[in-house]
Amino acid sequence: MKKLILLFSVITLISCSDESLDIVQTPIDKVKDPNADYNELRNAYFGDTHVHTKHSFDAYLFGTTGSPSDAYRYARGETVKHPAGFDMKLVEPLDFYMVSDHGFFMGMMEAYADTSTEISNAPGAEVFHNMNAPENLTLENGATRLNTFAQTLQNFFLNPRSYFDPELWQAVLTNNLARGLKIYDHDVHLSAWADVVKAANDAYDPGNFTTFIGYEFTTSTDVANENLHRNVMFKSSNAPKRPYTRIDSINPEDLWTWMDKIREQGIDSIAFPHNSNGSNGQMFEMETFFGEPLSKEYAALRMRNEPIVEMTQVKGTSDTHPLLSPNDEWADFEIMEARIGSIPPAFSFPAGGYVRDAYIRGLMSNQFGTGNPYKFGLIGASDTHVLGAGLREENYWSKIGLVDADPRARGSVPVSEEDRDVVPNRGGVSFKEFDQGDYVIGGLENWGASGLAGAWAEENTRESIFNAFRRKETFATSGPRILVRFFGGFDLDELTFSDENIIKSAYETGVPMGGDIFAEETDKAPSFLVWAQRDVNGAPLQRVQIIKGSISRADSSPTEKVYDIACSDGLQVDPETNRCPDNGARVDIETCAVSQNVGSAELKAIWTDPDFNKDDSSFYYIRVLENPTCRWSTWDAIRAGFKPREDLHDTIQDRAWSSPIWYTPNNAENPPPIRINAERL
Amino acid sequence: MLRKIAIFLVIGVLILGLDLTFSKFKDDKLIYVTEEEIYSLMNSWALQVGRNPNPDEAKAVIDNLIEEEILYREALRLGLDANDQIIKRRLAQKLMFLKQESKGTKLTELEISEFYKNNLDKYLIPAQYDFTHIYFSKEDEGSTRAQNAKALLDKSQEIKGDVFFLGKNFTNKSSKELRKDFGIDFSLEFEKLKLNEWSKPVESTYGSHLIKLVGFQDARIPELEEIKPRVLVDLELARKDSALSNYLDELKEDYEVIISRSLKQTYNE
Repeated sequence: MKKLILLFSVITLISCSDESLDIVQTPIDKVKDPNADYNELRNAYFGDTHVHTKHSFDAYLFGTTGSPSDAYRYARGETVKHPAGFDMKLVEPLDFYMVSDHGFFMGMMEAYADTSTEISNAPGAEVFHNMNAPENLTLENGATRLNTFAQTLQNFFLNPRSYFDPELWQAVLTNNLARGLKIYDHDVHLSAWADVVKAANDAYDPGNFTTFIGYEFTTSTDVANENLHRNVMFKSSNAPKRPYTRIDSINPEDLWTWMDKIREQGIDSIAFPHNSNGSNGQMFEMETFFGEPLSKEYAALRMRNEPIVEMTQVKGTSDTHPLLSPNDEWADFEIMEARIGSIPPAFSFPAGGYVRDAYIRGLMSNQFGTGNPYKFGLIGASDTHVLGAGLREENYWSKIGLVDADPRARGSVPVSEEDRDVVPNRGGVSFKEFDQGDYVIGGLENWGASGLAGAWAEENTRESIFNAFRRKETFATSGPRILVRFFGGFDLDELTFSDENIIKSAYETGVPMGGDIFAEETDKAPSFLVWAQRDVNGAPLQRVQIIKGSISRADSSPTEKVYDIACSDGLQVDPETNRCPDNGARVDIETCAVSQNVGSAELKAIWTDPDFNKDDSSFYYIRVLENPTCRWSTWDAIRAGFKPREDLHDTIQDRAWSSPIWYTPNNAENPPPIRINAERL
Repeated sequence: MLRKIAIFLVIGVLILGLDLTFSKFKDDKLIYVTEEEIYSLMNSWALQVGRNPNPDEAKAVIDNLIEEEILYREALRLGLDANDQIIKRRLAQKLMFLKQESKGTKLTELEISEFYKNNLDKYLIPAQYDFTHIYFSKEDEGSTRAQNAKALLDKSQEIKGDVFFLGKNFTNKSSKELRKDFGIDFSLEFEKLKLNEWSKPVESTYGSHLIKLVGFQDARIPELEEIKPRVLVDLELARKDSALSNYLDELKEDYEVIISRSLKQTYNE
């Protein structure tokens, strides 16, 4: 009997004391600014939901000492310092922002560096002592930082506490493995997370500026360490006592289950994966984490928790890859082919790593009766590790602080023999000789000044913007604030752009981006209304395209097609090729000057699908292209008195992507008859 | 008088002597466990275990406390705290923590209003405009059409422009928002507009606009009461940043730092 009681109390202890399931109530009583806008037809708000501060172990290593509060000040338009000492400031403030520090080891690095803390005496911490003291914040020092990072992180996990250490038993009892590591200080971790929560709640200014409590769940496969990173975003001002991290589980399905559990406690959240391009095809696999077949339950679990994907950021764009979309002339855009974190860089297999391919896979899965786990909306974000991103090509500072603050270190300007010490001497860096000298190769040259999230929301509040994410009424841009409206439906062809109420009518007769349209009785093809507007501070628009993908009902073969639907400068789409004629926009590579009076301030069209087949599941999304401008690497080069590096694109066509609208035929989920070849049996 | 002073001194010395003897005894050998201490110990025990301790367990908890206290005092008596790196760091850390936290909690009204006055430009609310507009897209000879439309409008004739992406009527639109949504030139024109009169064509990034201003509020600095929560947050933040460095600066003035000569030499070489 006694044993039984003991057993029961142990079980209760384990089940009750998981701090990742304890909700800390931090209510805020903020009233929306009475002068702020409310628009039932929704406004577009721009934000960055992927921002690291000193609490991220790697950001601190890269020299970042700014706090989440500093990050929010940057987003509101104030000036903050880059670790290398220069000022960072946005041209226009952002509407929403989320600090998303890495969940695991959150706050720890700063504590290691501060030699007055207890944890700085732990084995393995000494290499970090005084790391970011002012005298150590030098470009030369950036060189050794990445090395330190890679070597020490794995050692952390090899040093568990002894059986006599009460912390080890706390680790077991509170279901928190991290506490069992000698290098881990639970109080430091909790207070860093509390700071993230408090900073978000303090900086929230309903009506004018929205913040979200969030963090990054930085996980990867156990097979080859393939990237499965995702950010978690909370809806309310309350949050769990600690974030659920990769130390708890490396399986994203466990993260979603955890999100389900805290949702039951009233804490709604959504997650969005990023850098699928560097996941070696693992992000959108046709199987589960443990290699089980997809199922309706898996699809429901994933879609309930991950309705959004961050498809563009500094580490490349994951729209599609030239190998996956050989007939898309614009597929070769900010392609980053290295697996995330691979040193030296290893090639990331494209299939399963890009969103267009994932949409096709989702339709395929659904057709075979296992649900669609890839029916997500799109956003862009930066993944900056220095509080704020340089999203303009002409003012780019990459993202990893001291490591890539110098153009020579990021491969846009040649490095002389004497200056080799400005380049991070990590395993993956090597040099390649081009006409103008030796350049760094190995990844950073393929990063870019991207991206931003756009959300169509009634007002600038947490609820409204979170709901836009939930509805997938979101869009992504590679940096500029291009606005794009997108509606689909069977009666939208009756609307005209001269009608002052066109948007209202579009909401009434169709669905906005992120929505679904279903088969009708008639054979009529669906129509799509698109309206794009340039960024006041960006380049004029060149064309608007619809990208359509579908799965044949007859034989399950996928097709994909890019249609130009609106051309700049009054040009007309060639109905044979579905392409706009060249609008003549050019860039002078010597000065980065662009053609004047070419391109459009707005582009709009109502387009009816000419290749519609009512039996085929399909998706449609918008891509808006700006006129070409100089890429950041070209700006770097001409400023330093060089020509652009030969193997990089000189120019870039910055762009926006809408979330798709899906068309679902009747009986879409019934698997088509499987024909068995009798001779083969 | 002299005698009174003498008696006073004698008694004083006596009391001092007694106090010294007894207080030494008290400090050294008396352990007084307060009710609060026991209460908080029992509470944390209960929190960890999930029930209240039974008498045996409670006794063990208190015994532990007493033993810890005795060991701590003996260690102090033996001077074990001196020159111990861990203790030094721990104390420094504790003080740092206190310094960063404590000041933020008791902000006086005076401090708040001082901070507000010193940061007025930070709280400036830019001018806000209510207006309607008729838009003529750049894509379709906007400026010519706008000129013609203005002429017709002056003759009170009905005119029709294009539909604008962001809509027709705007309220409480600040000059900052105008700059962001229409471009800087457009936003600057607003200072010249006359109330309830159709403007001449105004160019934006997107085309030409005829604008009728129907209301406006000049730029103003809000009263402290309106924005007190925001000022408080800003002040706390500023406090946190400066508290520790101020405190350190103060302390540094009182300390004279002498660095061992041999060490100095090693460093210089």
